[in-house]
Amino acid sequence: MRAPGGLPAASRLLRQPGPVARDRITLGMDVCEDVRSCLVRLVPGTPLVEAFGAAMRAATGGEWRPAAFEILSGGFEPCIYCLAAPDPGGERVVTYTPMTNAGAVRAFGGSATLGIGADGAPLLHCHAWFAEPHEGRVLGGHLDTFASRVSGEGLRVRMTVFDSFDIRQLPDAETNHTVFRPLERSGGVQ
Amino acid sequence: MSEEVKLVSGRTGRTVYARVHPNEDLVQAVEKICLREGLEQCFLRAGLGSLTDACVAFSSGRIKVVRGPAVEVIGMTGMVEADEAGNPVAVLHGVLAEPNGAISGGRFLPGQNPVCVTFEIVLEEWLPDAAPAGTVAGARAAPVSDAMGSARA
Repeated sequence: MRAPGGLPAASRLLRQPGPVARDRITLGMDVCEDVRSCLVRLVPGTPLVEAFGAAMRAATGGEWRPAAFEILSGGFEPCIYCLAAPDPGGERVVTYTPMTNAGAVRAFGGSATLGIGADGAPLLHCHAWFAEPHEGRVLGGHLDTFASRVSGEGLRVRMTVFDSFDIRQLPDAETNHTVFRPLERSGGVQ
Repeated sequence: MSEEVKLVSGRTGRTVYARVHPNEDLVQAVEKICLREGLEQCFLRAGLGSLTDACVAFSSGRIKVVRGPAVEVIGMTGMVEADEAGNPVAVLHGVLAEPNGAISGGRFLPGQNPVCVTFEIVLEEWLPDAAPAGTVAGARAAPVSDAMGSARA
């Protein structure tokens, strides 16, 4: 594959539909004494957004805090997921494919962020890779964390709870999506 | 035994959560965060998002460009260390979901992995002990880079 000018093909930059934000990397930071890291076994049968939220509340005594997770082992059942695809309507660079049910899968890894959604309710953004139940074919993508549940064998994750900032899903004019971003703390869901 | 086990003792420090915006390079964004915040060594604790195209290196040295948009990053590992001049060098590996559903992966090449919509990253600072961890049963303290291999593909 060659790019114009005979150079080897390289990754592209894309023009997004909205104005380019000045801030290119938005940070939230916890200092060491504020960071709470835990190894968690999530409750089987629970929708992911509830299971990850319950883990966070167990670590904070019930208070709302945003958190990040590494998926270590276990499974999802069902595992409802999608991929990214070009937006045929042209309102965005990409949108999502229809959701696929991969059944009862064994999880190999992935990451998740627990924040506050645009509607004010807890929202879990999760990407993971896993094996489908019959042939072991490796699949992965963006999970529907309301429809996907922790499988009967449970799910083990490493959790980091953030104390000094919020994570909220907000409209992003540049991409015309709503995305998570860190914000100064202003109180969360109760 | 020709190789010695290499140990580095230390503790974790600050934790950073970052949202990286479109068209920023994934590897360089991690390095920019480290420059901005004065992080010399850190572990990647979470990474999820999409790339317009992905560009990864395999162990053979072959480089593959995975065309999107968008390529979803569904698994990620990595760390950052300083080079001899003190500049941060991020070594990041990822599992990719291609637009056709195929799964692939490799080491992300710096400057060739532009974020498509958004990318969330969690970095945990690593503060190695100043003194060596000691030599026990054939073990010796060493820079983490020795155990990671070459910092760049």
